[in-house]
Amino acid sequence: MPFDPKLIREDDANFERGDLQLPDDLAHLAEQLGDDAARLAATYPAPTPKVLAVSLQPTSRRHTWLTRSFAGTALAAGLVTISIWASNSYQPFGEHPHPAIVPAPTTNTFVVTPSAEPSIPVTPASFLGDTSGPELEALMDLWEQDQPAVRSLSF
Amino acid sequence: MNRLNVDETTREHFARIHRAALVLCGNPWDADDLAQETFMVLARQGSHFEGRSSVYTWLYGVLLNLDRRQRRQLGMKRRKLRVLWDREPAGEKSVPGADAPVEVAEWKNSLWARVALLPEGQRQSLVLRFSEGLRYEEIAEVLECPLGTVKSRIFHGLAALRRILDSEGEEARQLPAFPSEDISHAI
Repeated sequence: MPFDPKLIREDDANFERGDLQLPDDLAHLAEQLGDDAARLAATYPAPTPKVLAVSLQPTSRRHTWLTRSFAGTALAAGLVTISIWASNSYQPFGEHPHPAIVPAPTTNTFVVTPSAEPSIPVTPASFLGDTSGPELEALMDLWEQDQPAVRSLSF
Repeated sequence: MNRLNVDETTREHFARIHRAALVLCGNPWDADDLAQETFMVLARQGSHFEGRSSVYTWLYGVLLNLDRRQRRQLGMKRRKLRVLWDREPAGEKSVPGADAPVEVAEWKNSLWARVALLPEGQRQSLVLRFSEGLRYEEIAEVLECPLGTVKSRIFHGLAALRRILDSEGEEARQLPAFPSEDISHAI
């Protein structure tokens, strides 16, 4: 069983009824307690409550905070605008305002250029335009099997 | 509770709460802190006040809770400091120890210094009754106890105070009203 003491004063119920009647000596002590408290309060008066001191300032503080916020936002927006404008209008000294024409790079790409006068007779095969992929593959296979001396296929 | 009510409540009740704190603490510095903190609680949690009791009884409840917490913290610190103090050589103890409570002479020479020796329930009841002038029903509301308990605590608290004074001798009954302040031990 846990130890759970309950202090119950038996005479509390006796005090419940009626007013508290104090003997003279205790009444005198009670009176002196009141006097001492009054003297202490008179000697050390209450200071200004900080709650009131704080409440007197919130308007000005809020105003200051808002002003600083707006100023900061405006400054940031101005800086962004200036930086964008500066980056768009930047022109290095001595250069043309238009973008430089970059020469085509020299590459090793093999380019097949048909000769102006082809030595090989070209037979237009317009019908290939309607052939599907598998049909075209089949044609190329047949072409390889035919082994002509000179062959070319142009699309 | 809106800002206006907090201001009004503070203006109306700060002095009495400060007085109760002064009687409880024994020095104006801790009393200031305690009273200020009580009204900071009002500013923060005043909106939770449901109006079931008077504002000032609610404030007294806050004050007593804060005082109880502060005493608990101070008690722990003083016990630690007492251990250090006791280990120092006796010859070097020319000033009171760091664990000595800060109490002004006016309070030390008043009956409230003896009330501070009483159990918490009796001490709080006596403060609320004879310093603050609350009715028994209001004290019961603040301390959340039956009316008979309040009266019993006050009666037995005064009787215990009488015994303390008797043990101190007849000289203690004729306490000087307010000698010059002596806070040298606190500096």
